[in-house]
Amino acid sequence: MDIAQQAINGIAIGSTYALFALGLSLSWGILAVLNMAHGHLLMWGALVGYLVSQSVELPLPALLLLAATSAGAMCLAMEWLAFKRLRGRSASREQMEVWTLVASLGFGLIALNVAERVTLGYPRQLPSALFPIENFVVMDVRITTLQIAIILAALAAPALTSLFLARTKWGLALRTMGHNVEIAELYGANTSRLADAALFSAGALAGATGVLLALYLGTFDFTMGEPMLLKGFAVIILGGVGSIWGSVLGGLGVGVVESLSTLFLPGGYREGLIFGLLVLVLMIRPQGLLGRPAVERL
Amino acid sequence: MTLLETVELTKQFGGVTAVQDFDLCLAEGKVYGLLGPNGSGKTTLLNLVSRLLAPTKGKIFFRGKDITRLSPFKLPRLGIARTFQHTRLFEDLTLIENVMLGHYCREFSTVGHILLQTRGARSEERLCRARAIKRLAEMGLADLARVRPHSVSYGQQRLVEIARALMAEPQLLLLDEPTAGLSFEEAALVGNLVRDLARQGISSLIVEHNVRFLSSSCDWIIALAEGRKLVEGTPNVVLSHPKVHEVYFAA
Amino acid sequence: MRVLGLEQSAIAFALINVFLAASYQLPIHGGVFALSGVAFMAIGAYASALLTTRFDIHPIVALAAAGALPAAVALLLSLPLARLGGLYLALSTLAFLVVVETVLLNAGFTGGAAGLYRIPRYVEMWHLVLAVLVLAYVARTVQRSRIGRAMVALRESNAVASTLGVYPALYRSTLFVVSGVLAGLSGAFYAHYVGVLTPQAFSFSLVVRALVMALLGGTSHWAGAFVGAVVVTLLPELLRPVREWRDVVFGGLLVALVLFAPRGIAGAIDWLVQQAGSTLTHLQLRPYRPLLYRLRPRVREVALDDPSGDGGAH
Repeated sequence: MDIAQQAINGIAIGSTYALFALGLSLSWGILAVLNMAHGHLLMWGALVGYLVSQSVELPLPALLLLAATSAGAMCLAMEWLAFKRLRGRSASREQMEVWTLVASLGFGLIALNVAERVTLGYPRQLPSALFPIENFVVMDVRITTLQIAIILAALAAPALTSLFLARTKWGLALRTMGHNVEIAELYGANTSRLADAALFSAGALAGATGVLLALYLGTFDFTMGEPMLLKGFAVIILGGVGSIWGSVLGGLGVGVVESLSTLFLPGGYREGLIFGLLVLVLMIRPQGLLGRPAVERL
Repeated sequence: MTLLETVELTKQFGGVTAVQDFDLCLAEGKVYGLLGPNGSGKTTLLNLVSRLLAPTKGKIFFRGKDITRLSPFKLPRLGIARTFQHTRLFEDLTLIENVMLGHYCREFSTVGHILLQTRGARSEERLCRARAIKRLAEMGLADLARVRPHSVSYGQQRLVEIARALMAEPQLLLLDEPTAGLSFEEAALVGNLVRDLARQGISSLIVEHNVRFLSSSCDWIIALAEGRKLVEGTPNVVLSHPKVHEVYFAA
Repeated sequence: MRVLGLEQSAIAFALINVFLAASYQLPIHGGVFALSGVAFMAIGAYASALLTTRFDIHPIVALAAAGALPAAVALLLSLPLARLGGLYLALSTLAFLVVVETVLLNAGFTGGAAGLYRIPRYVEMWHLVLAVLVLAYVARTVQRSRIGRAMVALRESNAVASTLGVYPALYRSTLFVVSGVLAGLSGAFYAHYVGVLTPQAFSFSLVVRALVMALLGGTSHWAGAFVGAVVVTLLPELLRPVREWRDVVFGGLLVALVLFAPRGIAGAIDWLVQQAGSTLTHLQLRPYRPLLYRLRPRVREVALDDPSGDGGAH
């Protein structure tokens, strides 16, 4: 039963990876923003949740909303301060990617430093009363209400996103932007506003995930963003950049492999296993599992 | 002697055939013009010959050697140099450095030579610089040597790109619309240049829309339509050919 | 001993960091966005430390091994990775760092999380100064040669560079290997200067710091790594009052750089020198003819045979 139990745990933690990677993947795929501060946005979500719950007693949905809004706003600030200008200036998508990566590294450093000063470097804890956890035991396998909530969120968010992208005119415009920003503009899309909305949503998703993850793990500290970011990269490369259900599958895959590996490997090798697999995947498929090779036009 | 020969050269992009069963035969010391409406496969043909694209079918021979599967970086050493339709100078290099880069394929200094600053390495660099200055001077750009590409005119960028291609000491020069964006004098300069080269035995294959340039500079013109050869012959014959007029002016 | 109000150790770290920064700056200069320098630094540091402590190898030999081992690993990695484009290379090299970290933390011979200690401290200031001077000579000489020009060309376009006879795959692999050597050497210097090694020293945050050095200094000029490493290492020493907010300063600096001076400090200085140079040329050699030449309206000949008049899009 160990295997089934670890699989359930893997799916639960993998669901947080999927939620986190969804925003990362879309902002890279559509806007060429590989946000190195995305992990810190997640940490900010948790931090805002913590700070608010210290002073006011709010129900979890309100807390999630607050965390999401503040992380989304931070992401929006990055867009306004840097990404938008870089988008207007870059000659090629590749150049844009490198510049935004560097700018987001800078924002990440700032966020990390501020969070370190705020938490004074100590691990912090969200009040456990936020989400009363109940256990269900089915055939010796334990699953908690929190796990169920996380898994449901990881199914609902991508479903809503893909509906939005497939069925609305804004979704169509965003998908067009992924190929060519100018063409989207020619057809009358307000690309600047759309980019704002997309990045705000990506940040908000990360912030909300931060609260869920902090609840799930029990504690968090200001460094929680970094390993999460690295896992996010693994997820989107496995699942394909810009692919919505790809990041869900990738997230669940990484989570399950990680959990199951604890049965066979000493705990310390967990991270190495995932990233070793990632290097292997890239060796065989240089553009990621679902990516298409880029062609330079002359 | 035949310089370049293509046999049934074909390139398909997905379902679209850009170049189909193209047979080309270029001799030494001649100026060839490639004429054709937009989308007729001229640039694709140039990209195939310079190996930036892999042909779907067919063979390419350069001086009798099969180069169909050769990597593009080996071509300049063999004697094929090219320019691009949209000039591709390197923005982080000055004009003279751009031109010097054209000589790369004729240089032999390795990292070791360069680090030890051996006599060979130093004289090679000196020679390269001297030649580059000479090439720039030919184009009337000697006093812009230390400027970066973005601060000169489009026509001047084209001239620098031609100078860069010439630094490779080619036997076949592939020029993609060399006079687009050039002033009248600059275009005349390019015309004289290719005539001069032809007298030295160096052939050019020029994609061009400029009829005046084609008729005054080329020995032989090949007209394309929809990836196939339409007619070929001397400028007088081709430019007055009814089929050419039909293809060009029907659109 | 203090020099210019700075601890001697701070200066030593700046010099060690020059090698680390160069291991990032050099590949980026040639268009290879690899982030594996810190991983190679760790390999070099542990290799040299283990060789000298466990096997009593002569320090010079250990130093050579600290350069050679990461180079060999880099060569192996470059076979599959050199063809990766853009950020995929960045991500896979980060993944490689995580793998190296995992091994350092868990393998018996590396001492685990506690790391290695009592490593002989052979490295003295003059070694570092000498090494940095040699590196500066190498970087400067290579950049001004045909190889330096080819690297810039590759950064801008592999395809165009290859039509000039530059072999992109060879350059990409070589840059990756050289990055391994430089990082490995910096690791060996670090190990034998500090005397203690822990896996935590080679974390993702060091990657970020090394990138800041490379980009702050400037990736389009050979001196970039030198300027960047010195500024990033010594600035916090000079800004002691705001030390707790060091990363805020660096983060802000990084964003400002990308936005306002993408060529970094060395690039900005180079640009100024060039502006001065071209002004001089302008005054001496080009009185006003070229000026007129530029002002003259450019009449483009309209192609008779091209009804669209756009010069053709194909």
